[in-house]
Amino acid sequence: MTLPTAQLAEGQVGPHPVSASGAAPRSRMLRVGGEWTVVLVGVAVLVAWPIGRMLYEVIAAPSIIADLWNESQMTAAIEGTVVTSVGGTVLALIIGGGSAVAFWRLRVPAQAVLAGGLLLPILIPPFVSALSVTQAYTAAGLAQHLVGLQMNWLFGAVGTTILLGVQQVPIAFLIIAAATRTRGSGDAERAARASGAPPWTTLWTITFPLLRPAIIAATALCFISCASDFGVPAVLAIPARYPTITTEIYQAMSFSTNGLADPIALSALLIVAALIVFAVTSRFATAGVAANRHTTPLVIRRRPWHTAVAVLIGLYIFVVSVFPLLGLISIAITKVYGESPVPAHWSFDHLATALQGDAISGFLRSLLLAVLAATLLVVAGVLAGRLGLRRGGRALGALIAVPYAVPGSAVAIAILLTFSKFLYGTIAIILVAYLSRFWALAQQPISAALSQLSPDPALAARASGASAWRAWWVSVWPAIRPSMLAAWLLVFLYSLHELTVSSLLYVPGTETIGVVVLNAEEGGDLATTSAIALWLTIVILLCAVPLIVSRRLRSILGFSSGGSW
Amino acid sequence: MTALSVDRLVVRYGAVSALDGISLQVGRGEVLAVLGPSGSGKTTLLNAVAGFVPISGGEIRIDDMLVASGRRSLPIEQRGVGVVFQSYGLWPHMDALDTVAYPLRRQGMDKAEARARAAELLERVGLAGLEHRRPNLLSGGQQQRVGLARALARKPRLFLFDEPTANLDSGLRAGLQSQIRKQLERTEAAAVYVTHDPVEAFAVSDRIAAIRDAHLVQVATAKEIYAHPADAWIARLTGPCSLVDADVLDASTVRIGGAVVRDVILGGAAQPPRNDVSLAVRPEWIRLDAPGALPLDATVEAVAFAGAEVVCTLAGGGRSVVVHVPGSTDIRTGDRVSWGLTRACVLSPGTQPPVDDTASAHPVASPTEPAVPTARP
Repeated sequence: MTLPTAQLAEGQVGPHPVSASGAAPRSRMLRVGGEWTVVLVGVAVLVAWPIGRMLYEVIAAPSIIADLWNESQMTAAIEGTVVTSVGGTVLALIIGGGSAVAFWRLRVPAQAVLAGGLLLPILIPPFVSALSVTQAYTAAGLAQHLVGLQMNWLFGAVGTTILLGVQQVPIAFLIIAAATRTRGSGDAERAARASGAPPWTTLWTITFPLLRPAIIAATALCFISCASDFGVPAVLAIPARYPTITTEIYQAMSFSTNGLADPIALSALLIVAALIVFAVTSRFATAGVAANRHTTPLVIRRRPWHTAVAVLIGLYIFVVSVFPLLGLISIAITKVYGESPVPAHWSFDHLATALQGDAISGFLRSLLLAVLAATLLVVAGVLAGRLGLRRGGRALGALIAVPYAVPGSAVAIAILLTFSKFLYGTIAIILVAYLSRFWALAQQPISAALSQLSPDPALAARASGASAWRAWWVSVWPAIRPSMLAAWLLVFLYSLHELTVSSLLYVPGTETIGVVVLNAEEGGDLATTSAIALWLTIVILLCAVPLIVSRRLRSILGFSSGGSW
Repeated sequence: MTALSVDRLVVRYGAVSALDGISLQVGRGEVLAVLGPSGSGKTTLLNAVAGFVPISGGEIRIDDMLVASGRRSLPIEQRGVGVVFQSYGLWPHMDALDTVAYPLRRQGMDKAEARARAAELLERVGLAGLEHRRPNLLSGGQQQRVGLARALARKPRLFLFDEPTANLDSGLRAGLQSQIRKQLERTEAAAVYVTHDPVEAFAVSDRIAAIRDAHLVQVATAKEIYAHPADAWIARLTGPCSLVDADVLDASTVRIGGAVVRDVILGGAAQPPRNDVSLAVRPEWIRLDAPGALPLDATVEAVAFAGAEVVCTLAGGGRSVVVHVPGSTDIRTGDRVSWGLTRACVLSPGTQPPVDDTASAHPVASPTEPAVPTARP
């Protein structure tokens, strides 16, 4: 899941502020020394060194990449990733982009609720989603108990593709919905109509080209997110022996005796693929300018079939999010796995078992990691944000974005290469990896808030006799507090979600909750696995309440969609 | 033959009427300015004529052809209007040349010919050499010229301007206004020009329609509406003006607070004699002299140098008036003066402004009005 990169990639790190030209030099007056040192050390340790180390491994022994093509398993993995990622991307664009366009051009009833439903996969970790789907639709699942439906083909390429697509629907939806708001509606189309273009011509000559950058950006992000995901193929592809790059890296790390050559080569491949995709698409994705703000929205008349569209979207949400969750719950509360989930068979044993031993320590470890990562990164984000976008600040910003733009497996391997000497086998190495990977997540909302800030209030405070810190405290701090909270929550939730990185860095005794779920699933105890996953989902939903409730936080993070939200 | 005929037009957004029974005509080659504060409904009128909003009642005819009634509505592209937008409405993915060629292409012209014609139009509006710039590389004034050229390319029967200069710096405004006026004269098409700036309305239009709270309140030529505003609200809307309570004694004599002022050119709703009326007085209708020379005494309360003239606020006898004095004067705050009137306009009763407004010299009144809600809740 790569949402905030959505904004990074689309060049939306705040509409490049009016203050960028005139005010930036003045804001230097407000600076306190020392930030450069702290941020430079942070970027060097967390980004430059690990990524550089990894690239060095490849440059020093380029043959490891060539060797990949000699191993049939590896070529199959590359093929698997390409196939499932292309399929998932197409699916996500059709469903997410289609919904965004429908919400914009039709008067679909209950838009707010449906938008929330479409965004649900943001909150549910991919491995939990995949697990829930298997609990709902495969052998002994809820659908079989209810209507005798059993879709074991979900294990394998098709199921992996579908679930990857479902996971990326929010990305496609948010990016395209944002574009319909800032570029699509209003005067651009009215001008075309007034110039003599009928509706369909307007759509093809004006509307679609205006949305094209967003569609390209969404395609790139969905593809990279699909290719980097580990949770979905771990649950759906591994049991079917369908190889993908991320699962291959995991299995090579866990079982191979062949050293790190294959994981490094595969990671390098993922990094290069991600960088190429972003480099190619960013050329197109940033073309043109954000359009007018003063336009009145289009007037749309409600038609009966708009309700049918709402029903269709609602049905989709039920099938991919609600029913699987019910499936998960039904397995978690049914006493004996495989029995039909009627009240007579209900029991809370599994839910209670799930709160003992490994699971609870995994929970506590993940919570600790999430709190530490979120807190440290918000501080780092403010420090780096204060350096601004000019001069070196912009380059630093780009560096900070790298570990988030490339797949998590690659970050984990890079961190392992760099820090295993000092930190291997400790929880600290996972923390370092989280700090590296999620820095961009925290940076984006904070930088956006800072760049939209006028330096005048702070300068007024200085002119009134305040010290630099005091001026910052009185004028900047209150203005960026909501963005800091949003950044904190985002890093916290993503750390709690996290599986890809920790699955490659844990040792017995440092499992995160994601790893506990994965291991329980691989161990075959599906009832307990479901119970742990259910607890995890509950905790995440509880932690996400501020996001669900506060419109302001959502809009800071770009999670808002359509005018009615 | 009328270029535009609007008959009892009603536009509702939900329960709110944005336009309530508007009727007006625009003749061939005529430019009608629609003047009103924000939220008055002036842009809605334009949107209804263009076909951007559905109308709830009444009829709109362009060149005597029915384009919209409560029941039927001609699609935007078939109405033959050229629209210039407040925020330009340019397409970020198209350069200036293709933007201007767009309406020509829609008429079926082939690409090369449309581009050649578009290049001519761009040259006509002073944009030669900028054909291949996209909007993000054009200044606001240049963007609006592209917008104007695009509207011209359509060769419309009727132009619609929606506050085309509102987003421009004041220095660029006059240039664009004269450009628009020049191009309109050349095409001889009719135009509706929406603005909130009276000076702009005077400069571009043949007639002005003042609109308030979804209703037309006065339609007249620029000179007429400036000299004879129908009420205090329109007087304020159309330029700086003071309001003075008076009795009208005969066709050229008024009494202000006991002092009789003679030889006043009286306009407006005067049917003398009438007591307790309100006079609208433009700053240049007031004469100033040494104390005692003219009927009314006052003290100079404030002096503001404005280049060609000095704007003085006079206070005396519980009244306050604004007067423009040539910039060469050495008048100072606190000076004793006397004043009289050369002209005044008798306002219709019934729309008296709030009491504390009598000294106001703000060019545009900003009455509190319900904002028109957006159409999509």
